[in-house]
Amino acid sequence: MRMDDIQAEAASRVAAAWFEDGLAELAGAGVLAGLSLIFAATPAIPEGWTPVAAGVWTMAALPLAGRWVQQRKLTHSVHRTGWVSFERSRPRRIAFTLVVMFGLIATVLALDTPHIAAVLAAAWAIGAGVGAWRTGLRRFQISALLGVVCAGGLLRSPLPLFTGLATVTAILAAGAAILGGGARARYLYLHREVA
Amino acid sequence: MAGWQDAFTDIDPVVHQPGRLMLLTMLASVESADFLFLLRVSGLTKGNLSAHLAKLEGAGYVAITKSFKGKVPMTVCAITASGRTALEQHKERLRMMATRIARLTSPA
Repeated sequence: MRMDDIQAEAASRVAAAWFEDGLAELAGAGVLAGLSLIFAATPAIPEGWTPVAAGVWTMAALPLAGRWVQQRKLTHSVHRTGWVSFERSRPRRIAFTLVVMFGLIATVLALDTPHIAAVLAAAWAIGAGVGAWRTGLRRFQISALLGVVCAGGLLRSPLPLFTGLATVTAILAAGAAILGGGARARYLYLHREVA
Repeated sequence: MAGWQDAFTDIDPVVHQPGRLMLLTMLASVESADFLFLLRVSGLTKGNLSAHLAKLEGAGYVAITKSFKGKVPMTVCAITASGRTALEQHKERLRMMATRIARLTSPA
């Protein structure tokens, strides 16, 4: 094994250890569930305001979810499995989130497609795929597969815009909640003697 | 004049020791990590980890601070700039050493 490979393996193990407690996916599930509710409530929202509501929710919920994860790690994970922080600073993290969001919106606009929900599912699959590649965690592979299945299903049987978005975000939220919840239960079981 | 042996003798023993090399490699991929995290991911014993971290701190390759995250006390470790340099130099020396060994052991 080359030294560079060893270094990459170490980085991968450290990244996987950060996700071990399942908190990040539970937070992600919460953000997606909120989005799903907004899309599902489209008939009750004034026309044209659903994307605005979804954007505002995402912008507000992502930092809150990040803070929730950090706080839960401090109160529930640090005494069990320790603390690690990564090099991305707060401004870089915010910039990264904005780039991803606007990249996604720009892609949807550039493609001018009626399959926006399928694009969202594909974006999720790519994100989870990158996570799987960086951490080697199987649950990210499953999450990526779920995104691919959702995207494929929506391309084969398109749904009306907001119905499709509500459906895909609900499925992805449920998937993230199940995978994150499972990871959390396993984590708490494995470290039960510390509690 | 630097001889071919230098590739072997220039190896930094502080970095070369497997446990410390693993710790430096792990710390190079994060901003900081606490004692418990390093203990768990490295698989070292508490005594071993303490000894290796003390040695790395003594060489100036790792900075160790006792701090609080919220109300939780932590011993936080981070690789220093000279630690990163030492790790990169070590990688380079290992590459050179591997090349030399391949040359020395390959049939003429």
